[in-house]
Amino acid sequence: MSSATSRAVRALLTDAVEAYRGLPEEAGLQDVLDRWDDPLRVAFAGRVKAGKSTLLNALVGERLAATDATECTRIVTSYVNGPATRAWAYPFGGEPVQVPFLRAGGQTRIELGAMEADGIAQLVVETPNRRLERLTLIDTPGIGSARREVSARTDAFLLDDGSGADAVLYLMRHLHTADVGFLQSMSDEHDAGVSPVNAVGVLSRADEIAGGREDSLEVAARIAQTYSADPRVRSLVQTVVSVSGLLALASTGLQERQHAAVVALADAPTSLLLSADRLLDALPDRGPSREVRAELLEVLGLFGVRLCVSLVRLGSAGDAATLAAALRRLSGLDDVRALLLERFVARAGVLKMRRAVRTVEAALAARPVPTAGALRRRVEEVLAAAHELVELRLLDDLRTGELELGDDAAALDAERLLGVDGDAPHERLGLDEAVPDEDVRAAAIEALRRWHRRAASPLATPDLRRTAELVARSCEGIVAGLPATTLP
Amino acid sequence: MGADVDHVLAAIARAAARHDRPDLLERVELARARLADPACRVVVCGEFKKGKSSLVNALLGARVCATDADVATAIPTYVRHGERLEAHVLQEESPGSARGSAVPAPEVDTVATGHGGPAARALEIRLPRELLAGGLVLVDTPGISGGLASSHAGVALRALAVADVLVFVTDASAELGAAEIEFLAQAAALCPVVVGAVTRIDLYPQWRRILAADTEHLTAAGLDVDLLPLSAPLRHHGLRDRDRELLLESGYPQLTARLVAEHERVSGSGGAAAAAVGAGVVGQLVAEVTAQRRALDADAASQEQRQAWARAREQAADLRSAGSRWQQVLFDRMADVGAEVELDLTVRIRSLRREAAERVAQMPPARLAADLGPWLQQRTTELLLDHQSVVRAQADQVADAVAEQFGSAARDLRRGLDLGTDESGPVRDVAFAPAGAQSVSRLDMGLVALRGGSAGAMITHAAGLVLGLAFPVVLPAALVLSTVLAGKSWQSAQKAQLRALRADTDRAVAAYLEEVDIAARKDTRDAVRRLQRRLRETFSARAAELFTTANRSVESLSTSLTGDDEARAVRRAELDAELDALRSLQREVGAVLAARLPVAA
Repeated sequence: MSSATSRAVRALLTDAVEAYRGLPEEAGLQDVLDRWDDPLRVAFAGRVKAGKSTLLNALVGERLAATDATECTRIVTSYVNGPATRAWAYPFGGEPVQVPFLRAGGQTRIELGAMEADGIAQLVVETPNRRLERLTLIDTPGIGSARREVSARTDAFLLDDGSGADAVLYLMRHLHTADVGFLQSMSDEHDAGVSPVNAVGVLSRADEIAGGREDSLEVAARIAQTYSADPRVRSLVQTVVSVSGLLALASTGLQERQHAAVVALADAPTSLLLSADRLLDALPDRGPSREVRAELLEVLGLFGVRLCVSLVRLGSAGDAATLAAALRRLSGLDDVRALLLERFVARAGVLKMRRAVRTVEAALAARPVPTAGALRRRVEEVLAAAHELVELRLLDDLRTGELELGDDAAALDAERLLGVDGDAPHERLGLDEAVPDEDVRAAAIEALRRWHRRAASPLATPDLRRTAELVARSCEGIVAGLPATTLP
Repeated sequence: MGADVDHVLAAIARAAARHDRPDLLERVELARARLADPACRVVVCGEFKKGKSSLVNALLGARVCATDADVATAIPTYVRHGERLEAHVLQEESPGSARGSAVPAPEVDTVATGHGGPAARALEIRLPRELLAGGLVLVDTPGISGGLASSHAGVALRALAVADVLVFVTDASAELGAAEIEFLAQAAALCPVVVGAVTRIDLYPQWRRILAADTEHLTAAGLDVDLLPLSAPLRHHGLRDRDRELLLESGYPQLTARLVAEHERVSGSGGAAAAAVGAGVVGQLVAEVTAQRRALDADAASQEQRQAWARAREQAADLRSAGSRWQQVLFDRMADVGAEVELDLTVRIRSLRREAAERVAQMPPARLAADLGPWLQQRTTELLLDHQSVVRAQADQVADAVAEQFGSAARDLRRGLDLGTDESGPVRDVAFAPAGAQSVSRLDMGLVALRGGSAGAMITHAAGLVLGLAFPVVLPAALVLSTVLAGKSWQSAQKAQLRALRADTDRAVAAYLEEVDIAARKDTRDAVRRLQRRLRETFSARAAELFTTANRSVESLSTSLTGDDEARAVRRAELDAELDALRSLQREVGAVLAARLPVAA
């Protein structure tokens, strides 16, 4: 990300705010400008009970968001890094009010006092947490609730509200028509646009996917792969990974006494693990006490308890730390973290610029002000100078079918070169990290030639030619960015 | 179950044969045949991946339906009783349709998940199970995701139209969602009994709270649904280890008991209907024999009776003729209904057409490509459901009006006749003619009989399962539109191209709605025609029986006066014996019927 482009976009935004002073579009533009230096805002969206709060907690490594068996998150809540743990409520059209943030028994609670939940636009929780330094995480109530007002809040936040998100983690338990419809309406209506460029799908609650069968996690990973290859899904999100939020969260705070309880269970008859009810109440004189069993169930879920017992029986979890490590590895948390880093944090600057440019464009389309012509030219200039933004737009078009190459292999090649799997040269070229520089250079030059050929082919359709020219430019960028070597 | 009814019906059939009444005999035999086949269809519906197929498998203790974590049932699967396990492809979606090729066991899953080729519209699996032996049929349906907008919603609703019981499946992982509640509300209007199954309670320690939250949502939506907590793994473990406690914990014995009870209710109400037929028939026989017995007394009273019967015969002849009042009511009302329901359909489709045209013209191009298909599907489904409820309401009203008219004529006819019975209790109302009363929209014949609803509704239901109004089979909207919308670059298109694309889309929508119109109109017309024929046949047959009874009574009253005293004494004794036998039959059938009817409120 060149700082020159960033400055240019910021200047454009400032001028746009000036041009729309006093008009309805001003607030949205001003908001993007105000948050220019803030961390990237990533929202957790999805159907109710998809496990959004659980995954959020797992990612920050502590129990910040309240979780419960029934629908729990009722208000959009942002979690930001700050000097102390505090919470603010933002009433509609009012000044923020600090509210008590309480922790009790591993759960958290925000005391709204006399305020009505309906009157609060959103909550902001501030806490010192290293993982929130570069990302602000936003928990949403979710869609598809039988309580209509809960769904409406999520819609309002993600679709209409100017203070939306730069990127979205979309959690789904299984692909559902409500999911697809929701993502589609987001990508169409929202100014900043949720698209394959800034949205990632997460198959959450992986431990439950096959009805809690032993191979649930593997099955979930397989389903995630199938979804990632489905064109319908690809036109909505970059990729889909599977994760068990519950196991991931459990792995972040597993205690020795919980490990001891698992060991005790491993010695008890297997019939204890047949159902949650049995685990709680059967054979009260064998194994751990009821309180400990209840705690285990809450922390791990039945599948998690079974998994831990198997790990202990296999002898691969001698203490709490090893067990926690095994759980984290199996849960898929590391994949989600890596995804967040590669796809969002590493491209925070360009994602923000993209949102800024799109917000300006949307304002121009909605209300042509006297200076619209000049602003439009500025947008063109910015885009011409910032190939990163062009790459994102091209990726979008390829995924959503706006551009049709008619050649799947070429499309995949183009997406990778445009940086869909990561920004580093070896990632763009699909090479191993350990590959020596000269091989990277050779591969980059080969890719450049390949795309030049495609652009020059007399058989190329207009779509293919346009794509090929832009991809070739990306290849040039890769070559130019490599450390200089002496050519033989 | 139903054995006592069949026993008394058999005796009544013998009596009808003895008295040379083939018309009455036929009616009793028909009722007996219906009684012998008490099919009860249990349709299993729910959003996908909630464990519908697992539920069917656990219920039967056998793996008959495909349960994979990432592929789902795509066509309805009918599971019914058979001597041995076998599977067949059905060429139509309805359960009774022509059987196609047999499916070898390893390929059953392939077919059920929709990969068995276009000819496989449904799957039928037979297996030897006690639960199914009484005529219970389990129907596993494709999951509806996203409620009525789902292209599978049609399949589920079609299955529901002929269902006696709906088992709605949700799981203990989360509360009921908005789409599930919406679907349940529609389903409750189609199916008399809804049972909610909350699966996977073994996995979720908090299932009791989920159950409570679900109950709350159902109450808020005004739905009367019992929720049963279930666990398929516990059921399978329990069956394998013969562990009674585990079986009880699985909840399946409770579900089985509920289904058996519902099955009994369905066949019980069938029994009540059959007993009512028996009571009607035996009532006519008693009236006829009473007249014959009266004739032998040759006193003034019998003279009076002869005149009364002669009047009754005239009235019955009038009832039988094409110009009778009830025929006129039927004719006039049916003409009105035909016009009204067609107008209803026209208005609904036209307004949807307008709505769709506006959408096509105004929606942002990208949204159009994505949302038009599901939207059109949902609105079409709603339109058809609303239209069908209009048709049903109208049908009920006509049947009630005709029954009312016929009933009052029949009551006039009975006045002054000595029918040889004390006429009391439920037997009286069904003995001679149905008594038209308040309208009941629930078409389930059994329910109507049991709840004391209108006679008209009993007939409309008997006219074919729910008037034969199923859900029209049309291609999913999304599929129709995809030919136009797919692969078009809406956003990059120029203004003129965009206009052309919108016009194409509009034409595709119009063509689709035309197809829906044609299919739905045909269904509706057929339903109206079937109803009219059924009503005419039912009441004509009843009028003919009345005429025969009256005619034979008049004849016996005028001819039995001849003959010598000794022969008359013998005949008198014979008739007294016969009358005693018939009266005892009448009491018997009355008791059987009374036992099946609810206590009057």
